[in-house]
Amino acid sequence: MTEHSDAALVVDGLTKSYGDRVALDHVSLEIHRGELVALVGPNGAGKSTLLQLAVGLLEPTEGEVRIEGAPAGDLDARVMCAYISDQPSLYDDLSVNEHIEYVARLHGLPGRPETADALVELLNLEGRADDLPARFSRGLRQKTSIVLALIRPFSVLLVDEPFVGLDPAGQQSLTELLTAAREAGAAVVVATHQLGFLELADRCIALRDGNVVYDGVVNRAVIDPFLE
Amino acid sequence: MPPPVVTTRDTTRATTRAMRRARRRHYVSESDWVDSLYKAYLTVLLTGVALFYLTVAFDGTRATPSTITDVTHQGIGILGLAVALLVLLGLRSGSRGGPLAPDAADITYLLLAPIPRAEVLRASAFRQLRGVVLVPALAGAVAGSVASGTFGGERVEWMAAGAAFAVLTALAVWGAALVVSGTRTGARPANAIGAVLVAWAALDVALGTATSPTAQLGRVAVLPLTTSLLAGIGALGALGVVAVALAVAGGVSLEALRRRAHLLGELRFAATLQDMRSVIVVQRELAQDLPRSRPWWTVGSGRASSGQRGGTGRACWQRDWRGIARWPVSRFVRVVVLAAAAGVATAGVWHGTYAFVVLAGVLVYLVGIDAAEGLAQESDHAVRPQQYPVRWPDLVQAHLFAPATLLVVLGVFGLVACWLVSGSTDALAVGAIVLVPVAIAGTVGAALSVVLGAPPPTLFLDIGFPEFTTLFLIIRQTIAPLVVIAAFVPAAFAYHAATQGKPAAGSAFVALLVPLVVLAAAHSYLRSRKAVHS
Repeated sequence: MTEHSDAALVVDGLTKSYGDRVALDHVSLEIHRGELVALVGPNGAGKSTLLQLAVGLLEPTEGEVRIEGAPAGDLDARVMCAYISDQPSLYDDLSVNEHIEYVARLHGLPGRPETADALVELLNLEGRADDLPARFSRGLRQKTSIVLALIRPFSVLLVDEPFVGLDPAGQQSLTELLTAAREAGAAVVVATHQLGFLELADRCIALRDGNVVYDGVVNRAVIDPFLE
Repeated sequence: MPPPVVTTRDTTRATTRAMRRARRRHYVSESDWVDSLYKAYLTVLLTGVALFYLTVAFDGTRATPSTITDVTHQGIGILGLAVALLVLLGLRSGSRGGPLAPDAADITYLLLAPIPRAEVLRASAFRQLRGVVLVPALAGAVAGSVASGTFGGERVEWMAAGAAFAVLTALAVWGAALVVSGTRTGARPANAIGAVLVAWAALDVALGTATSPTAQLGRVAVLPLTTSLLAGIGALGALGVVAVALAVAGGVSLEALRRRAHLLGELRFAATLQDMRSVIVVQRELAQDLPRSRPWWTVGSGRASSGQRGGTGRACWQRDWRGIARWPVSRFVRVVVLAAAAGVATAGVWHGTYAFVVLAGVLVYLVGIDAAEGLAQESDHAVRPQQYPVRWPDLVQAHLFAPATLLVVLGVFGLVACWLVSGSTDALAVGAIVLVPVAIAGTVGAALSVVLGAPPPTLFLDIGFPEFTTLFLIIRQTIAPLVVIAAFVPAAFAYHAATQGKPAAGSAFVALLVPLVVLAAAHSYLRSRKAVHS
């Protein structure tokens, strides 16, 4: 495998099969620091599978993913990689603030991180910070999981369908957070069906049937046919 | 670039402990203590009733010296076979990522955090271990107490032996599952190991020996009858499996854990709602008991339409058999084993333990649940049948024929098992008499549980007397198996008649009136129900 000093995320010959069905078929790509990449494709194209393999939630059938040189899922990779799932998982019996405290401590941060209050405010969670998520709507749960992913330092941010369930203000705030992460030097990959988001991306990768069918600058005229 | 993270073992432990304390605090503050007390009261009450029933049902006759000798010699092998079957189930669960079952949030935050994963998984295994030990210890002690009434001797000794046997068995099953998932052993080798253990234990039973590893655990249960150093070896073996399991727990696949976490979350939710159908569907997913993409055999041409004469019946018949033709091997094996076990339970009735009627009924009900899948899926997607030019009661009825036919075929396995275990041609004749009513009852009982669905949230208002909500819920959950249990009543009547010197088969025929009345009522109720999930 070739070493790339500025590639934060390297995917090399990545294949994921479920029995006879191939979800990802020998995908290779690199994402660089300070790059915001939109990952697009129709349902079942392999977007979520790619992100879950990169974060270490799934194990590849073939190939590998490296986060800052460390194999995906390894302890060193987990230090570097933040992930926002399309299905927010929260403890129904811990308040938002207790979630923040818990996740921060798991990431070795001393006390409540400074970023937490700003994130809670930006996502309009101030009034709900002491509430239990069991009574939260889908959007509030998504906002909480965004806060939890972003309170710790990271150099790679993987985001799966983040806009689903968010109100317009929440979508706007999330867009600001994603671009801020890029400005801070992180490699940001966002799997989305929201084609409006493409305007903000530096690069677009289109997947179809587990294969990369487009990888380049954002050009709707070229990309749109791949999404049908 | 993130700064290096300092998360020591102590920090991790302190953090997870603090999190669990906070969760417990919220759980307690959110709980209603009156509700908790009521639950405790119901648990004590139902446990007391169950204990009383078990004692009356199994404590009636004192075993003769020859029976005690038989149990001493053959019981160890039979218990060894039972343990081997359970270990096989454990190994299969392990190949799918069991037995650990973290929360979905644990996967996202704890297992993706930069802390040693092995530490987290081992701690999770230790916590699960407490539950694995507690329930079998109680159940084993109760079984030991009941056994002391039959076999004599000190009740305390029997209770201790029963508890030890149950705990060691549970540990062996749990440990085997975790060893397989921790070492990421595939399904085929895991099944092969389990099959070897079962075959060895079955050979023991056939030859009247006790040489298999699991038979050594069986020796623990009969320690009050015969002491043996080999029982200690069996116990050490089970503990050894647990030690290995804890050592390899860190190797469990995150992918498998995530899948289980998701499904277990759904399972808990369905169980909370008492939605039997949802519990079954999720359990099947958990066990990867999914339909085959290619059927074992093809059924019909698929050109039948509801406009043709007999179209509904034919369409449902074909649809149901198409579903059955896609069953995985594991489901076929399960229903055959359950049917055979029901036959063995019927043989137990023939040996004078009427309580086995309940067991036989429940086993056939479980077979019926699998067989009535076609109807269950119509109920799952009730919007679709609403668009058919067929009335819902007619659709329900049309879906009963294929499962009932399948149950008759499976009943033959039960019949053979009953005959082999009882060794009585009278038992065989009575079994043949109840075969068809039992098959129909199994189908109707399963269909009832399907159409009943989960209790509505407004149940306590609907029934008019909120004080009787719990009682109503219990009746609601037990009514379907009771329909099937009623179909075995003629077997009990027949045995009773035989002990009085009267013809068993004739009594069974007369007693068929009981299941027929119950079936008629159940069928009538079935047709009166509307589609549940609409």
